[in-house]
Amino acid sequence: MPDIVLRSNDGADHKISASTARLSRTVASLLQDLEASKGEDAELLIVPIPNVCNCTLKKVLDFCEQQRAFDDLVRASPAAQQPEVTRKTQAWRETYMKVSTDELYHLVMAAHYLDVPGLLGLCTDAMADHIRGKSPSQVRACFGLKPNLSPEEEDDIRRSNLWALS
Amino acid sequence: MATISDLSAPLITHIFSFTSAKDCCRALCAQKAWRVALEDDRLWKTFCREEYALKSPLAFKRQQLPTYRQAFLDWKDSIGRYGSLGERAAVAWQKIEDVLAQQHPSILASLRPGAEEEDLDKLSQRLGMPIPDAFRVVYRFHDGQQFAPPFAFWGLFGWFNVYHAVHSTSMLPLKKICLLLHDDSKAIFCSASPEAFQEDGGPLDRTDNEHVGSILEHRQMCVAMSSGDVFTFANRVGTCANAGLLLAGDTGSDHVLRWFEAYATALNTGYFQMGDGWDLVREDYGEVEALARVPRDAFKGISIIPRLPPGQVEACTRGIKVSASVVILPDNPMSRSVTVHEYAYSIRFTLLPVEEQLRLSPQAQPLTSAQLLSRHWVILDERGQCTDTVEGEAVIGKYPHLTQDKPTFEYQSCTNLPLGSHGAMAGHFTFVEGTIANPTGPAFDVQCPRFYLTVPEWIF
Repeated sequence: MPDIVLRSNDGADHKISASTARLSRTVASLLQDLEASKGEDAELLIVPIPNVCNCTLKKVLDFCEQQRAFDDLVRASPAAQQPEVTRKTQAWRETYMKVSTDELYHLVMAAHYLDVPGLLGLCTDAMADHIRGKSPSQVRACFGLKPNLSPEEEDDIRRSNLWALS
Repeated sequence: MATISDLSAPLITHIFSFTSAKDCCRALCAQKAWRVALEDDRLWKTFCREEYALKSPLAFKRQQLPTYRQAFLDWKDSIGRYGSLGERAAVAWQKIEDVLAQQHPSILASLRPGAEEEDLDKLSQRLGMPIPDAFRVVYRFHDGQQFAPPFAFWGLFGWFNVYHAVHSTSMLPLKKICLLLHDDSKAIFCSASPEAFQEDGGPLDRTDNEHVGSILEHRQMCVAMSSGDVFTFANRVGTCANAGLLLAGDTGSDHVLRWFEAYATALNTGYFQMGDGWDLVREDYGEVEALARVPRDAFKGISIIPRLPPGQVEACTRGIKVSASVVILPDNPMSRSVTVHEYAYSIRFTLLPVEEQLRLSPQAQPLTSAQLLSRHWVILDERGQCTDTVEGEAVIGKYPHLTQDKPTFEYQSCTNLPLGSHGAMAGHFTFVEGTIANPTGPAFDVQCPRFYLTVPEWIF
């Protein structure tokens, strides 16, 4: 098996196992292409990840490593211990998701680009939490948005969405 | 610093798919740039499915629309004021319509278009009291049933029979809803009374009316306008004290909708199935010419005899399967007593196909013909103590002969228990191999498993 290295857009390298790499569907398909072009004997495959910085890539790979370890643990554990494994994973994820909004934006974009379903679900759920049940001004405040609708436009949209605003 | 504006439209769409339509519309007022993402129709397809069980972009009145977003907004505009009651009514109606589309399109066709808000307001004025929202919203989808003849067995809320009394309960259109005599806060919305449809014509044409009309009983259901609770009621008993048996213990303002949802689920899961009343009618009237002119379809309808546990129990002895089901008769017109619960039970014998008999017991000689000789019942009280036994020849005066060509026989009978108590029945039937006149082997007993006579969670 060749070594796999993911290279962030600021040039940092992360060596990872094939099973961890494949948790990203984007990386999995890039690897397939690389293997096809370099042949089966290649000792090192470097996958450039142009859209993701070192700091975020590291965070994404943390998730993938943990996910892989969790998958292995689930396979190895008897049924009786499954709830305990699930509880531990949830606890780990809660700590993992304690990030600033800036980090959250970077993470959700990376998860979307790298196509890591588990991580994308976690991030989108965290973001949806900021939206659910909020008024337009609360949503704006939460995401640091400036009002960019003209009063006429806003009035128009409000009128056609009255049911949702009451 | 990254901001939310850095997120691509597909990603924003994805994030919003974890929120609700209401959240989306509010966010639309918050940020101009989200317009493309929030108007993505895949998002609205999700909301249509989640909130209204909608599988294609149909308007509330069922015409096709170009987008799911338009469909969603139309539904919201039509029944949004009912909130989650509207969503629940949509899901329940969808379950009923799915089953009818597949199994009985004539009943589906008998459902009238939904009532408008103004129609409901008019009813409210006519009755002189407000109508509960949970009741209004059910009628927003369909304003009851309309009856072009024939419809004898097409009641939306099902039919069953005891001996030759057939109950087929229809959903009344708003214009037929009236207040219950003696109790002016309850309005009748379901009825098996043919007179309820006089303006639209009887069940069959005028001459046939006597025939089928005479076996229809006056089963009715009503809803209390103040509380939204559903009751069942027998016209013939007709006293105030016995005017209603609450159809479930738990009351609440959405009671009528929960009753309707429970019915939709029972239909959708096969707890209730289509039943054929043809043999019953023909037995009563013979080969009457008038009956021959009526389409066969007219004698099929939703049978409210349970076909799954816990309402039905089964046991198999020597290739004969016995299925027993119970229906409570809160309004049996034959019983004028107010101190007992009347129960109908339905016993179905099925001679299993030879292959299945061999699969169940490969050594045994398969049974190809058997005739019932006698019945043996044990009646048990709520502690499981025997209170009575019944031994007798035949069932309802018949000695059914089961063959591989005509393997099934079903009959209904009834019994009663003092109000507030419950009990059970069990027993066996003695069959002879071949026929009673020409036995081909010794008589043998076929077990009937114990079935319980209790007031079920919901009564239909």
